[in-house]
Amino acid sequence: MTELNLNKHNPPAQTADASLQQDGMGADEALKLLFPDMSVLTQVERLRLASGGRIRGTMAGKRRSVSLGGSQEFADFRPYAPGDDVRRIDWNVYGRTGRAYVRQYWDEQELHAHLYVDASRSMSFTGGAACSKLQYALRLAALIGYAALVGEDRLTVKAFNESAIEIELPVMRGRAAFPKLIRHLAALYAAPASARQARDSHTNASYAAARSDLSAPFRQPGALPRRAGTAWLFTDAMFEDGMRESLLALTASGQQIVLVHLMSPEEIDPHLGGELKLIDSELGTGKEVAVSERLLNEYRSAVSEYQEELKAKCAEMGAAYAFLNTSQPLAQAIQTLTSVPGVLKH
Amino acid sequence: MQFLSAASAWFAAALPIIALMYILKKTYRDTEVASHLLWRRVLQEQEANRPWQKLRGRWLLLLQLFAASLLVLALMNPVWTRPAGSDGHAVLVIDRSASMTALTAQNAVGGGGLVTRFQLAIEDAKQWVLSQPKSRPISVIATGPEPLELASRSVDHEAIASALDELTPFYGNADNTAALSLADSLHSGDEGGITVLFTDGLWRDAEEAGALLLHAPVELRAAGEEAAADNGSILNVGIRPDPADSSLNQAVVTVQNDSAQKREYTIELYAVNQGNESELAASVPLTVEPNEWGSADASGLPPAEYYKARLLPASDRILADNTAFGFPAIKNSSQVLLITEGNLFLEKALLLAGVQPVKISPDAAPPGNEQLKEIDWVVLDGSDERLRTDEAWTELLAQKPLWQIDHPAEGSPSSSVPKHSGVQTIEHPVTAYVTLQETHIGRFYVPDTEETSWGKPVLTYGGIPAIYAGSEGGLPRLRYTFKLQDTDLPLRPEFPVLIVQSAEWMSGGSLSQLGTVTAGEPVELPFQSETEAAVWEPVEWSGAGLTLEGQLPLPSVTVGADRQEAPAVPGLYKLVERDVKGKLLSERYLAVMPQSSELLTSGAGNAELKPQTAFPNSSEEGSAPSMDTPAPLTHQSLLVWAVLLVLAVMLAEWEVYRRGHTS
Repeated sequence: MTELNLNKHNPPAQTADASLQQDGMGADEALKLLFPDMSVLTQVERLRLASGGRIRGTMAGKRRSVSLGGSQEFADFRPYAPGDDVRRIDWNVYGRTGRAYVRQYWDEQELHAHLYVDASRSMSFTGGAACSKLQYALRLAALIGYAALVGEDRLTVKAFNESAIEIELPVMRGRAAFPKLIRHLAALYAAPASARQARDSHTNASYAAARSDLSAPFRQPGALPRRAGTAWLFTDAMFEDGMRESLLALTASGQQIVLVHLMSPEEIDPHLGGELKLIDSELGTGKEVAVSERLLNEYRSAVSEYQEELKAKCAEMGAAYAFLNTSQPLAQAIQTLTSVPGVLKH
Repeated sequence: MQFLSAASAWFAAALPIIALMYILKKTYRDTEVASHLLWRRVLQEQEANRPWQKLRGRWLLLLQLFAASLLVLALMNPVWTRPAGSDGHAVLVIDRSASMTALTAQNAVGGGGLVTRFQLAIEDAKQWVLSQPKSRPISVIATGPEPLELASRSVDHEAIASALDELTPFYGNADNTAALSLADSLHSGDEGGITVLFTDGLWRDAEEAGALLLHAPVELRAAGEEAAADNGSILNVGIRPDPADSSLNQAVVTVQNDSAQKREYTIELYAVNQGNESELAASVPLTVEPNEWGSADASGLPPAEYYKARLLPASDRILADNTAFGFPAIKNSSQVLLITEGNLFLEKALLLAGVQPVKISPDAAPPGNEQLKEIDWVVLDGSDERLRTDEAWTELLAQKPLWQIDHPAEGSPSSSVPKHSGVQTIEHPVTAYVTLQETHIGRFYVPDTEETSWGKPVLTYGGIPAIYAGSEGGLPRLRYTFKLQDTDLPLRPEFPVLIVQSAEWMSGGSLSQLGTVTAGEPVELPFQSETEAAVWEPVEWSGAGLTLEGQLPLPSVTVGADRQEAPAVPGLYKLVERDVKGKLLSERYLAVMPQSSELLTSGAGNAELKPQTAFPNSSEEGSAPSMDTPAPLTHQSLLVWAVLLVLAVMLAEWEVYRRGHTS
C-alpha cells in the first residue's frame, strides 16, 4: 500500500477514457505535470478522509457504517424479536440467562467522497504564486483523491463554473483508479487556456447577471450527490451569493463538507498602486480606484473579515473550513488540512 | 505677519483649479482582478467621496498646491512687523519753532523749575543719541526757514550731542514740512531707518506735513507735557503824534490773548532816549477776551528815540512776545523853504504832503538865522545858477537838504530833448508807485556827472535822467532835471504822489527807523549813498532768555544788496552805517518780532500733526503715529523667504517626480 508504482500497476490504456486517449497524455506525464515533487504522495498515502460517521454507501467497504450490518465488528445485544434471523441468536447468552438475545454487528460500507473543484474564471488567476488557483486546486484534489482511492473510498470529481457543473469524472474506486484520476485532472490542469476560451463564450453571456452566484451550478440537476458522504469544495469563494445556499444543499444531501478556501498571495496582500480600473474577471465590470496604502490596509482587513465570515458559516453548517494560500507548497497545505479537525486523519 | 497686498489673495482661486484638474484626470490602468467581491467591501466607503479619494496621498499634487499657495503668499507681499530699527539709520528732526520756547514744568529732572520745551527736547534728543549703539549712523535736521542739517550719517554721537547743544530756537517762519520731507528722503534706499521727531506737535503747517507720504517710520517724541494754552502776546505797537499835543506821542498796543480765559493785562510803556535812558512813560490796563485781541491807547508819551512795551504779568508761557518796540512816526509837519518865482501846483502839492511851504522869491535876500531854524529843507525851483553866485544863498543851500528843480533853457547845450517817452525807474522810495506813463516832458537839463555825484538817477525819461536822488554829507538831496511847468505832470494824478514821496525823502525818509520785522525774514534796508560798511548792533534781546541766544552771531550786512537777513532772535537792533573813512553815518533801529502764528501754545485752531507713513501701522490701517506711541513698528519683507521656500518645494517636487512617487 505504501508502494507507489503507478505505471506498472495501472497501464493508461486500461483506465483512460476515449477523450483522454486522444489527448495522448499518459499517466506518467500527467503525474509529472501535477506533481513535480512526488514525495507529497507518500505523505498523503497514510491519510484517510474523515468520514464524520455519515457512512451510508451501497457497497460494502472499509468504513464502519452508521447502520448495523454484517460486518465482523460487534456492536450490541438486542432481545430477540420474531422475524429475526435465528442464526444471530447468541446461544451462550441464551444458555446463561434463558432468554434469546440477538448479536448485532456494525455494517461496514464504503465512503463516497465528492470533490468539487471551482473552475470559474476567477480561479484562473495566478496572483503571485507558481500556479493558478485552479491548478493548485486540481493538484490538491488529486492528492485528496489519491488519499480517498487508497482508502478504498468511492471518489467523484466534479468541476463547476459560474453557472453549471462543467466536468464530471466517472466514479472511481480503488488505488487502480488513480492514474485515471490524475490523467483527467492533468488534462484540466494543462488546458486552462482552451478551457477558458470555451468558458469565455459562455461567461460573456452570463455577464448580464450582475452578481456571481455559487448556488447556480448546485441547482443544476444531478449536481448534488445522491448518497451521503463527504464533499470537498475547492474554491476561492469569490461569489457574491449562494455560499450559504450551496452549503445548505450539500448538507441536506447528507454530506460532511470540507470547504477549502484558496487565495493567491496577491489577493491576500495585493501590491497595487496608482489609479487603477479594477476589472472583475467574472462580471467584466470595472471599478476606478486610487490605490493608497490606507486602502490596501482596509482591503487586507476585509480579506480576514471574509475568512472569518466563511468560517462562521461553515461552523454553522457543521462543515470544516480550511484556508490555503496558493503560494504554499502542497506538503504544507496537506499539513494545514490535517490540522483542521474532521478533515483528514491518519 | 501682515500682508501689504491682501487683494492678491484672489490668486488663491487658482489652487482649487489645480486640484480640480487632478480630479478630472482620466488615466486609469486596467487591472484585472479575480473578483470585486472583496474590493467592493472596501470601496463602498470610498465611492461615496471619490473625488477626495483621488487627492489622497498625492505628493505631487500636494507639493504643487503648496508651491502655488506660497506663490500667492509671495504675491500678497507678506511683511514681518518688528519694532522700528534699533540699528538702522536714524534721522533726528528737532523742531525749533517759536512755540517750542514755551515754558513747561520740568518734571523729569526735578526741582520744578520752568524750562522751555526746546530745552527739554534738546535734552531728550541728546539722551536719545547717547543711548544708541555706537555704530548707528545718525543724522540731525533742525527746522528753520530752510531745513538745517547738523549731522549726516555720523557715528560720532558725542559730536552730535554737542551740536545739539548749540541749537537755538527759531522765531521766524519755519518750514517744518521741508525738514520732515528732507529727513525722509535721507532714508532713501535704506531699510530699517527711522525718523525721530522732537516736537511739541504744534506746527503751523501740520496739515501740509500730514499730507506727506513718508517712507520711513516716524517716532514722535513730545517735548514737555501738554499744557493749557496760556499766552499773551503783543502783536503790534503803533506810535503816532498825540492829536492833543503834536510834541507828544500816542501809542496803540495790540495784544492777543491765546488762553481760554479772559485775561487782564497791564501794559507798561517805556520811552527810551538816546543813551538808553528809559523812563516808564505809561502803564495801561487791558482786558482781552479769550482767543481774541484787544488794543489799548496811551497818550501823552514824551518824545523818545523809541518806545518799549512790556506785557504784564510776565508769567505766561512764551516770553519772547511779551516785549515789543515802537518807533515814533516821522514828523511830517515840517517847514520848507520854497524858492520859486511862482509854482502853484507844487505849492499845493507840498501842502497836501503835509509840508508847510515858506515861499520866497529868488530875488529876495535869504531869510535870517531865526527863521532858518524852523526850515527843515529847501526846494529850489529853477534860478540855481543865479543863487549860486550869491554867497549867502550858497551857504544856506549847503546847510539844508536841497530839492532842486531845473529849468532847462531852450537851445542851451546842456539841455536835451528826449527821443522817446519810455520811462524807466529804479526801486526807490521817491519813485515808488510812480510810472509817469503817458506823461509828456519836453526838455531836460543834463547836469555834469560832478554835479550829481551825490546821488543816482532814479527815473529816466527817454533815456535821459529825470530825477536824481541821494544824500550829501548826511543830508538828503533830490533833483528834478525838468521844469514842471513845461510838462503835463502836474495835471496827472501821479503828481501829488510823487511830491509826497519826494517830501518824505527830503524829510529824511532814509533816516527813519527801520521798523519792525519778523525774525529771520529778509528785510529791505535803504542805505545811505556813502555807506560803505554796515553792521547790526544788538540793543536789547527779548528772546526766551536762553544764554545761547546772546552768543548767536548776528547776520552780516551786505551794503548794496536788495535784501538783508534780519537777526534771528527777537529784540531791538541797531543798524550802524559807516562811510569809507569809518565815519558814523547813521544809526537806525530795527525791532525783530517772533512770528505770531508760530507762537500758539496749544493745538487750538491748528491741525494736529499726523505724519502719514507709506505702510499701514500695526494697530490700524493707515493710522499715523500719535504723540504717545513712542516706538513705531517697521516692516521686514518676507518675500525673499517665500521665494526661497518655493524653490525648495520645487526641488522636493522634482525629487518626487524623479522617483515616480504618486502615492
